[in-house]
Amino acid sequence: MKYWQYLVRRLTGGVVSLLGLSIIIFGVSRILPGNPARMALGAMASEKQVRELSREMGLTDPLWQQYVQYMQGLLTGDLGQSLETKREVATDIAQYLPATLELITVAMMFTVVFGIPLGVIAAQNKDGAVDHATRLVAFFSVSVPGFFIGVMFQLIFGYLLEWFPITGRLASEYSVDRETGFLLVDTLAAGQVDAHLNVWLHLLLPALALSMAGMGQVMRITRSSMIDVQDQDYVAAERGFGLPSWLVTYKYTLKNAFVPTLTILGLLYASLLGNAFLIEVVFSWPGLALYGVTAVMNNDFNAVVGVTMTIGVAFVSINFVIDVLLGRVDPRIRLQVEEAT
Amino acid sequence: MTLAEPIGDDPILSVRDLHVGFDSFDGFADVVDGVDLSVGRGEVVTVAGETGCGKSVTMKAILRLLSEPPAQIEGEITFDGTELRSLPKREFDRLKGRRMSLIFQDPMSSLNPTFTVGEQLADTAQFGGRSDTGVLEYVRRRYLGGERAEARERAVEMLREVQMPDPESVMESYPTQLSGGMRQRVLIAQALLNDPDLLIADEIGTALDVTIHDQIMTLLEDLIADHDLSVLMITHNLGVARQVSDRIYVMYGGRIVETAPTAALFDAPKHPYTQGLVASIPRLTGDPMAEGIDGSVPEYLDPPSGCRFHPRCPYAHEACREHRPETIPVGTDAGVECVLYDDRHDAPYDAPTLETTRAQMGTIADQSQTTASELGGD
Repeated sequence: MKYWQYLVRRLTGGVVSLLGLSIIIFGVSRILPGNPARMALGAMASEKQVRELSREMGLTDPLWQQYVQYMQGLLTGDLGQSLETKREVATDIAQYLPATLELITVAMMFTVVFGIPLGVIAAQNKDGAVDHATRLVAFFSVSVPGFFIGVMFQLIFGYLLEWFPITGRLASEYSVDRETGFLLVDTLAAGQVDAHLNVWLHLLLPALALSMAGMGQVMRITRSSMIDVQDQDYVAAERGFGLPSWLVTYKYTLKNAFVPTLTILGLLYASLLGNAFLIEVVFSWPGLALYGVTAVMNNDFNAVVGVTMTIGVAFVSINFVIDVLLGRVDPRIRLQVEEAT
Repeated sequence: MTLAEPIGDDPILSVRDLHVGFDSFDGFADVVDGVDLSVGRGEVVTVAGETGCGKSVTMKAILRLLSEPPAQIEGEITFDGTELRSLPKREFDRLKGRRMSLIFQDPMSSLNPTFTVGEQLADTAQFGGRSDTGVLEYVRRRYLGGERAEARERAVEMLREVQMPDPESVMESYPTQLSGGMRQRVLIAQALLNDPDLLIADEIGTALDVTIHDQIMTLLEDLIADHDLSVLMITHNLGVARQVSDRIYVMYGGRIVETAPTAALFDAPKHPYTQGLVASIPRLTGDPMAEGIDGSVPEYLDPPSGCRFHPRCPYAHEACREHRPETIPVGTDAGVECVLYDDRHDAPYDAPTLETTRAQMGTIADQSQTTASELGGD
């Protein structure tokens, strides 16, 4: 079996699990208490009105008919209307998803840019002062909740020092065509450099707060796999041939130590989509996690399905990307797959 | 003379009174205890001994591959007139990779599994021994200006020289796709890419099966002659030592116990340990095979006093326990560290010959006979 065939198989598996996810959400929604029709109409509506809307929404149909309808909607991208915003759920998601993606992508950038080198340096100074210092930092960053760090950042850098704005994505004096919804891209495409910088200022604190927990994990996992790899014969041989030390470390050693780090990065990225909620609340960030959690609390079923499926699709596609990357980083994985069959 | 003095007039490598110890939780392990050795220009020298006698540690100390601490290294190492121990790292790195090169013990684990052979060889050709290369210079020479293509050509040429079949496709392969013999050839090619003067080879070929091992040794002999290399080879295989080397050091318990030109060492070994080793080589004469030397290599945390071989030596007596024996010169190019050859000590025996020692050791054939008779008598 070629590696691409293996990837196709993995992707198929991902699609099957998405199907499973859709069934679970459907099942859960029928078990949960609370009538969506009642939620939509509010407490003042009469029993009769609720019954009428229920029939209109198809809630009185047999279960299998409801399921067929639900699946038809999912497959055609028609997620129905949000009871809360009274708009199409697909439209809502298209609006909120870019904000969250932008936030977590920048957060992941911080995780990679700080976490990996710190892990490498800790491994090189194993049991030295630097190693202990980074261990302390990692311990701190994993154990202190992100929203608390976020509030502290707001207090110190936003309120006291006034270096950064406290909430939102962009100061109100700028107006930008939301072409893609990614403000970093939109401002740059429109050539608004000032606005672009302003977007960065807004991003910095929440992204840093969000990246903390992942940074600690990435640092620790990079450290431990670097320690394993740097004792290998081939590393000693490369040093023995007098190759530059940075080259041996960052090219020859890190690539071998990168597989666990890459796997963790993929999982982190996908899980941040949902886990960014508290940071989004703290920074009033109009993102998907905030939208999704609000929907859950309001029993806004269509929105919950939309958000959950979006996160599911993100998980599957990120895992696919990681599989592709793993095969590129470590040919042994690729060769193993190709030889095993 | 003493053996601390160089054997040739102008040795390319000389090591004097090298001590290497390791601090461990259980105490201080004195692994290399005053080793003197030298490699003349164009000479092939072997350090032979059992596993665990300090050969590899000696090699690593020479190449600065031990991290200090835990290792503690003392002594003088001179390469081509330059004292290496006091040499700044930057200058040492310049020697390493360009003028000194090494072949590691295990071809299976000494190539990086995540890069193609071509990538590793081309990097070694371009940047081996150039450890001061910065990131920008690396990017420039790696990706811009055609220098990379030349380096790859040189790598292919070198692969051809080590008789690698289909070198172009090997360049594109990952190490896991190659056989042990091919990987060993890649490692030899990598070591010779920058045309070194001194080659240090650690247990070359021992991880391979016998036929491949033989091919590799023959190849190595040819390469040594073609490239005019001086070689310090480390092996536990006396057959290998006999095949390629001009001179042999026998190491035991972190000390050099005997040195002699290859032929002399095999014809008339002096030290009881060397005699034991030589007597243990299987012969094709049909004589029973010697059983080997009783016991095993010493503990380094608490080594035997005096001569470290005395607990296993059939000729040991009081003097052996009391003092470390001095090195006694034998002729001009050999020496032995054993009191049996020291006139100032009154050894209770004459110095043994190889045959006496052979007779001392039990033979495996004997043993099987006894077992057979025991069974028969039952």
